[in-house]
Amino acid sequence: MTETYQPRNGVEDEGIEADVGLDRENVFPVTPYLGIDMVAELWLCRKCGEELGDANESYKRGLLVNERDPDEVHRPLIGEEYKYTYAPDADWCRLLEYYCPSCATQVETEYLPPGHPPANDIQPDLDWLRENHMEEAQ
Amino acid sequence: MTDEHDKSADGGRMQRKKETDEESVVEEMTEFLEGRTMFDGPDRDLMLDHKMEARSNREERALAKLEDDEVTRMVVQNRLQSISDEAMEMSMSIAASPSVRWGDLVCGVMTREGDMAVASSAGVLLFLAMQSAPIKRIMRKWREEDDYEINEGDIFHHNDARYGQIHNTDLSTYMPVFDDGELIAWVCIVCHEGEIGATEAAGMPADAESPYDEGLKIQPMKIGTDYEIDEELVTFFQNSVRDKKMMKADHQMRLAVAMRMLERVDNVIEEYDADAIVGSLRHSLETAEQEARSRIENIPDGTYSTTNFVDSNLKDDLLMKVPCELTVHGDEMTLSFEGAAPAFADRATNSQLASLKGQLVQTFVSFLWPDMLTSQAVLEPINFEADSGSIVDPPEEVPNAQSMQTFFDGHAIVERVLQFSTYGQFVEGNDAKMTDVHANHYTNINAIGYGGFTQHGDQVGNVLTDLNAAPGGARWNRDGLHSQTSPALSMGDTGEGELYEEEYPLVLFSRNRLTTDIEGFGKYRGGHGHHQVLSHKDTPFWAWQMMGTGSRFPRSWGLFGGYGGPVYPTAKIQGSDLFKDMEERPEDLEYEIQGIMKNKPFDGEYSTWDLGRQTDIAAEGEIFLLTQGAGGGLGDPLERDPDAVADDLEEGLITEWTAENIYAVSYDEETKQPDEAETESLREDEKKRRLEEGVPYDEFIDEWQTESPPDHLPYFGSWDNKSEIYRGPNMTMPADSIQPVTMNVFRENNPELFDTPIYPPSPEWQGDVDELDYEDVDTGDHRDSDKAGSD
Repeated sequence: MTETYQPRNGVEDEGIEADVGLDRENVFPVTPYLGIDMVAELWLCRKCGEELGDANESYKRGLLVNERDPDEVHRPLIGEEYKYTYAPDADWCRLLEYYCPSCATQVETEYLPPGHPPANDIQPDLDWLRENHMEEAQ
Repeated sequence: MTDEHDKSADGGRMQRKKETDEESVVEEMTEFLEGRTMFDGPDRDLMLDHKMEARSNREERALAKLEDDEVTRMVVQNRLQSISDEAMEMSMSIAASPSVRWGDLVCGVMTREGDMAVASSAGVLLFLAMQSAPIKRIMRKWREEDDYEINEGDIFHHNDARYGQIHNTDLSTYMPVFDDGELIAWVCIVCHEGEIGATEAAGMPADAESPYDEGLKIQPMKIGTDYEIDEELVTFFQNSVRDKKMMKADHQMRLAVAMRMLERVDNVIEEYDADAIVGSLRHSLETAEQEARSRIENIPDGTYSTTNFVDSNLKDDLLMKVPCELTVHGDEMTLSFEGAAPAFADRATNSQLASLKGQLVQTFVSFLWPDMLTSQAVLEPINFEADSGSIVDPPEEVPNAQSMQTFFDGHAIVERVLQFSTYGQFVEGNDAKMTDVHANHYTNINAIGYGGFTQHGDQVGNVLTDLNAAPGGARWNRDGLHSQTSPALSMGDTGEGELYEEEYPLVLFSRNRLTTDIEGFGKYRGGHGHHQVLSHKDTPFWAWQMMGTGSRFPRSWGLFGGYGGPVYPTAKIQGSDLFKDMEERPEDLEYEIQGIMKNKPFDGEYSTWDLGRQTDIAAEGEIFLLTQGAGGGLGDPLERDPDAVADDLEEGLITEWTAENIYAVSYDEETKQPDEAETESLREDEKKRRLEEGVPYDEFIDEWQTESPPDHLPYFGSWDNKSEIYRGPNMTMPADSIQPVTMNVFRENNPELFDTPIYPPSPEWQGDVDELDYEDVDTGDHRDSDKAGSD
């Protein structure tokens, strides 16, 4: 946790930030599980500190991916005899789970049609972070 | 020679005369043609421009006057807010439309030039954001056309989305505010009314295959003067719709509300002056813009992307891509929807870009910065990009009655990229003033529409207001709320079941049960939606319509390792008779959707369908079922507090399967209390499984990624290159020249891509009231039989 963090709205709870293991001033918290080391320009796992690769590229490149049949998670809730069952159509939709290769934390999930390119969903400008975050940290 | 010369000279004169005559004719023709507009249609440039007008000299003077009088400005600003809030309450109290009675409307005050400056605290903010274009159109006509007048007491109205609305079931009334002969502002009320004379009765015809199937469409026009509506026009409108009483009653309701707003604004003018109104409205806009810029400036510059895949246009099961790329730079943002699916020429899910922008006003103000002034100026620092001809920027000659099925996905993806971009600064002090970090709110409105004759003999059509209760996504520090609110509507209500049953021939057999196991799983779980089991009686004719997408592909995703919600069917028990079973064997019946579909306690043929089902004429006692969705989960589910899992198990929100297989919680079979050590061990095993099954990303991509969509998918939109738009898995068109897809033709040419029919065939829906025999209506014991057929 950073010193500037304040519990909000009267919730006496650090929420998902309570489980973060990594607390370094030069690491900007991009998500609860991902940080960017501003000096080394590396993605890091905020749970275990594992280096996940170049911060100028998609964080996903440093993670493990598990393609799952979505009904392993969203199973048919009314049996399998019906056309539509609450389970996604596995021919149309695949579930990708992204894990930290060290601590196995599930960092992100993504629902995609088979073969569709995953998104590079978070690519902050490192210069901006350095300018705005590092100055504050120092 | 002379003769020849003369002849030549004459010929030259004649030639010149001929040329002069031709020029003159051309000039006359040009003047004639240019002077006559054969169709005063929608103005695309006006519709695409979401920026507010420049500060006028009048506003400059008013602001200067208020500069040293902050108290007056704040009081007047709050008075305008109170006026809008009171108008909203008043509308809900006196409206005929059940949608309006339970909150599907908005009231507000616009500037003289048509910018949305103040909106009611509750309601559909996006409706009001859509009123800017029609008022600007009226103001332009007033300035440019000598015989066009705007006078005190004039009543203006429109409903056509192509001029500024999300679909034509929303009806607006707006009136000018005058002070001493000077037009200074507008008061405005916009209501989702319901029945509008479309091919389907609920007012949002998924069955529409052209704009001309969507019912009454009115451009911005004057419908009354001197505070009185032109009754001839109202009769004309009534002749185009089925629910004639509602059409008239709610025109009167909106007029009454607008007049109350005018009265209140006049009081403010009397107490202060017109400058206070003009200055406060402008101040609201400019403050909202400044505040939005200041907040954006604190969001890390960068690029953030995501995509929703929409699995239906309500008539065809197909996969439409709706992507979003957010670029933050300084105090501005760009939201690009380039690469989206093409528009459909004969399907109703096309969304005007203006409608999507209107929804995003709601997204920013309700889901990101609810402390901001409710003003369209929140979009001032935001630029939009979309492919012309795509489903988010379609041409005018396509239907759009179900536009929300597309722009709600726009909401979901923008909601998601905003979480991606803001989490870090949120926990570092929150200078961008996010209200919270959360996974997707349930993205859709899973709606049940109805149409037919009531037990009182009235012809009606509308949607049940359960759609106002979409659940919330998980937050960064707590679970999402159950059955919370529509993504388009703040503080709407689902309505009182008893009132519904008194007015309509509905029987809400089971309505308020949360659906088990549908939450978006995560450290914090998404909220659950409820389900509806219903039937009807005491009417000679009744039909249901289901509206929604997301029966094959999830629309509401999880965040930061949480899962999204699942997908949702609708269901029907053909040939069932709820009332017979209730009377003969009530002890055998079940009330919960999963139990009903698994155990089949009612006699009849059980089937499930996707959420997009057009009008289905139902027999008395036949049972229909629908599930509202669920919010996305946030964080790794293995981090969820085992005690919270046990609580959810006890409350029936989840099953033992979920506790064991998703949350990896071990518990005592009898007490359901978690076993800490065993849970720890289960979770370690689960992590080992992840490490065994997970593949390094680059290695995975080599195997996974394809150059084009799979051959079996009816896929629409870009794949890995947003300048190339697929229409089906094997055909592309350039993004800069997208042609709308005619689905009826596409299906005929590509039957192998579809495994479901267009359901159901267009019904024989235009019943003739005179042929219906009310004598045969079984009114049952709980109805006043004298009421049936009284008309």
